[in-house]
Order: sequence, then C-alpha cells, then structure tokens
Amino acid sequence: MTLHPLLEPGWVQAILPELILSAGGMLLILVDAFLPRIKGILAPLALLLFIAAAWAEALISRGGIYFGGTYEMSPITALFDLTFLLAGMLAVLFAREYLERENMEGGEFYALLLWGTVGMMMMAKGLDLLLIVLGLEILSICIFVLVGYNRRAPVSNEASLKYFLMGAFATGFILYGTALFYGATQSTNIGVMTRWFSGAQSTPLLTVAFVLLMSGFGFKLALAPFHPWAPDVYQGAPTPVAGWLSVAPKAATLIALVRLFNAMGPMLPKVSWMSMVAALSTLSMIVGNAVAIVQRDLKRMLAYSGIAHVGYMTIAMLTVRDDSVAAITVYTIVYALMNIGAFGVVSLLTKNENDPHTLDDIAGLGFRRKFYGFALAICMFSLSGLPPTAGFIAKFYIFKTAIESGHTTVALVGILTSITSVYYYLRVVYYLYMKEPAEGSTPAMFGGIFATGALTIAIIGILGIGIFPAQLFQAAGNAARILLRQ
Amino acid sequence: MIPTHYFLVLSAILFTIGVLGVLTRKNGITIFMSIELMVNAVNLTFLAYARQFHQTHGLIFVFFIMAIAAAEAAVGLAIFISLFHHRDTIDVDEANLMHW
Repeated sequence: MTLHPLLEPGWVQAILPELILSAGGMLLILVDAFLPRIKGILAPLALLLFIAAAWAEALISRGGIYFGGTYEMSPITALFDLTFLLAGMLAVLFAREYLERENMEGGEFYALLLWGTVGMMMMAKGLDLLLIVLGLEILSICIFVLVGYNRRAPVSNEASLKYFLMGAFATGFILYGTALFYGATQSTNIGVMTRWFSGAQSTPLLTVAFVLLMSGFGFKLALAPFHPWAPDVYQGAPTPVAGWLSVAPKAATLIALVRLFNAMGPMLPKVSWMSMVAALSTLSMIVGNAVAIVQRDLKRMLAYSGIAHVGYMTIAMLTVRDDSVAAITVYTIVYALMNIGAFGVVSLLTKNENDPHTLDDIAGLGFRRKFYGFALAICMFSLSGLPPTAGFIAKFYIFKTAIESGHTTVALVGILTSITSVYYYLRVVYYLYMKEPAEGSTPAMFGGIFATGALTIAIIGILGIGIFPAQLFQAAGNAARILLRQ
Repeated sequence: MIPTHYFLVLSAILFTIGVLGVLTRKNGITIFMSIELMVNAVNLTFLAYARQFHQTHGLIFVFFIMAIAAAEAAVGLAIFISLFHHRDTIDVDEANLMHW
C-alpha cells in the first residue's frame, strides 16, 4: 500500500492559500525573533501574505475534490475563504496601531491570525467531519491565545479563561456528536453520509447526535441560549481581535453547518430537527436585541447585536436552498465589513483596557474626528439595516428567502426584532453627533494610515454592495447552486 | 467478544460525569480535567464503533482527538498560569471582573 493515490495531481494548487498562510505565520515569528529591529514590517508583511493567499485562492486554485474525497475546492468555498481573508486583513489593519499604542506588537499576534484563517479554510473546504473538527480546533486554539494576548490586563486574562473553558466544553459536545454520527452512518465523510441519509430512517441515536452537534456549534456561533460567554469575551479581548472573533469564526461554522444540513437533506422533512434550529434562531434574535438595548458598553452592545445577527443568519439555514445559501454568503461578507469596522473605531479610543468603552466616550466624536465618526455612523446604519447600506439588502434577502420557504413566523420575529434594534444602533449615532461631550472626559483617538485604510475599505464595501448588490448576489447564487447539486 | 453497547453505555456515563464536573466544580484545573474526561469518553465511543465496523477510520479519528486534547491542555495551562499571576487563584467564581 502506498500513499500515492491520496495525492491527486493539482493538490498543491488546491491547498496553496493554506500553505502560504501557514508558512507565512512561521516566517512572521522568525522575523520578530531574529530581526527585532525591523518590527515595523510585521504588519505589512502579514497583509502581503493575506493578499498572496487571496491571489492563490482566486486565480490559481482550480475546482475539484482532493485528498481522497476529503477536501473540496468550489466557488462557494472560494467566496467564504475570501471572506475570511478580508476579515483577517481588516483585523491586521486595525491591530497595527492598536498594538503599537498598547506597546505589545509581536510577530505571533499576526501569525495566530494567519493560522486561525487556515483553520477556517479547513472548515469551509473539509468534506470530512474529521477535517471540520480539526479546522475548528486550529481556529479555537488561536483564538484562546489571541483573546488573552494582553497578558497584563486582568480582563483579557479573564476573557481568555472564559473562552477557553466554554470552547473546550463545546468541543466535547461536537466530538461526541461526531462519534455518534459515525456510529449511525459508519463514516465521517460527508459524501458517504449524503448517500447514507438519502435512504435511511431516523433513529433516536441520530437525534441525540444532532442535538449534541448543534449545541456544540451553537456555543461557537454564540446562539442563545449558548451565548453567555460572548459579551464577556468581546469586552475583555483586545478590540481588533474582538471584531475579528465576532465575524470570521461564525462564518466558518455556518458554512460547515450548511454542508452538514445539505448532507442530511433527505432526512430533514421526516424529523423535527429544524424546529430546534428555528427555536435557537428565534431566541437569539429576541435575547440579543432585547439585552443590547440596555447596554452602555459599546463592545458588549456589539456582542449582543452579534448574537441577534447570528439569529438572522440561522433563519436562512432552516431550508437549505440555493438562494438561502446565497443569502448567508452575502450576509457574512457584509457583516464582516460592518462589524469589524464598528469594532475598529472602538479600538481607536485611547483608554485603559480594563475600563469599559461606554457611549459617553464617543459623545461628540462626529465633530472632533469627522472621518472616524462618519465611519462608525455608516457601520451603525448598516448594522441596523437601513438603505442604502449593504446591511439592508443582506437582511432583506434573508427574510425574503425565509418567507419563500414558508418560515413566516421566524421571519416575522426577525423583522420585528430588527426594527427594535434600530433604537440602540441609532443611539450610537445620536451620541456621535448630537451629544455634547462631558468636560475633559472623552478619550483621545489614536489612529493612523492603517486604521484609516481599513475604515475606507469598510465604507466603500458597505456602500458599494448596498447600491450595486446584483453582481455579488449572482456570484453567490451560482456558487450555491454548484454546492447543492452534488 | 464483549458487545459494543457495553462500551457505549460506559462512555455515555463517563461523558455525563464529565459534563456534571464542568457544571459543578469551581477550580479551573478540575473543570479542565472534567473536559478531558468528556473527550476520553468520546475516544471510547469511536474505538467501540471502529471495532464493531472493522474500520480504521474511527481509530485514526482517536489519534487526532488526542492531539487536539494535548494542544488544548498546553494553551489552557498557560492561561491558568497567567490568571494566577493576577489573582493568586484559579477559582472560576473569582473571575468576575465583567458582568452585564
């Protein structure tokens, strides 16, 4: 027996982005260790590596299934990979000046972002539960360290501890669910499982496996009632990390779940599993939006709003169709732009990291620092779903597909809670432009070319997708059709 | 040959003990030990099924889970040490700087 048949021709191209990011992470650490004098090039180097990976992803990789049917390259994985890369790039841009200000820049910070992205790519492309779990763990371990990166700040430590214990606990559930699926279907390969599900009857074992898996992934997605870690972790984590963490891992988990739900497709009408998912989604939208209203800490407010947004995205998963998958894809891209942008502006506030960043800190910001205020306002308009921003079109599409697939009640809850959410998003805009700052209490803003560049990308993206959404939706729709045809 | 479901019942019991440990214990290390117990219960499940199906697939999965658990332990203990520096305790109830 040889390993030869496992390596189909073209396998290097298939994993080229992952190879670039993995090797690049090591390079960054080595540069930091041996050439500390040129520390300034770490962030540009990390950016360059992200761009190289995006180039490999978009232009070099060819579609197909590699590594003995366990690794798939297709348009939908390319779209999600580019989303992860975009999120990573925005995080690096915001982190550069943040880390400089906090005096803790190091190669390992960027390396962990790169490796986390590799984990997410494995989750998106993996056609085997083993690869999905492995990708999830690579990602989680990077996040544990990134959240606690500010070792001198007690809040950062505490956030790291909470995420570590919760994350490891959730991993236990995901693994047990995987084991029981293996027991029921005799395989962990998604392709084999798809064939098995098309002729099988539901058993209690399968239901238990699904519940375990869903609660584990629910933790990772911060779906209510598995959400309580999210606000604490986002508050304690370094702010650029919090922005990245609130977007990218959720996108990776969603695409893995879409794949799994697609494999289970023939069985789903016979069982009530999807009503559990609908309940999670409804609860997330209600809890997230209701608690966000009373938050005065910006990072915690964004955390609760993130719980609500995952609720919206989960609506589209209730029926896996090509337009619902397209809606999720577009939503994750838009969410990456607007949420990392919002966290990015918060990260520019020069404050002791142990203190909360409250609404009072941004009072009058729209006049003091016009560009940052404008960027935060655009992100808030987009998060609340007001036209002509991309947030509106993404949300509209989610609710439209939900109603077309017959999930009217959940969609109605989504629309109503989304209207409520306008209150707390626009409260931020109110503080930005209509509130006088209290004397001498507002923190300075520390930002330079990197943060400004990242915010420019976010604003152009939000307005561009909001005004010309057709092309992106078409690309996402085509990609989704290819995914579901298999 | 011992029937497969004996192993499955044992691993379900171990997993439940692990979950209860996580929910009731206060010490960070003890919680982490309970999580390890959950993971090992999963390993037992995989091994039992792999033996029943005469496959190597489940066995390979176990190796990966062991690697994952080891990596998690390394990072986790570092986090506990860093927390201990600030607080002189790793009691998770003491980790309460943030609340809603």
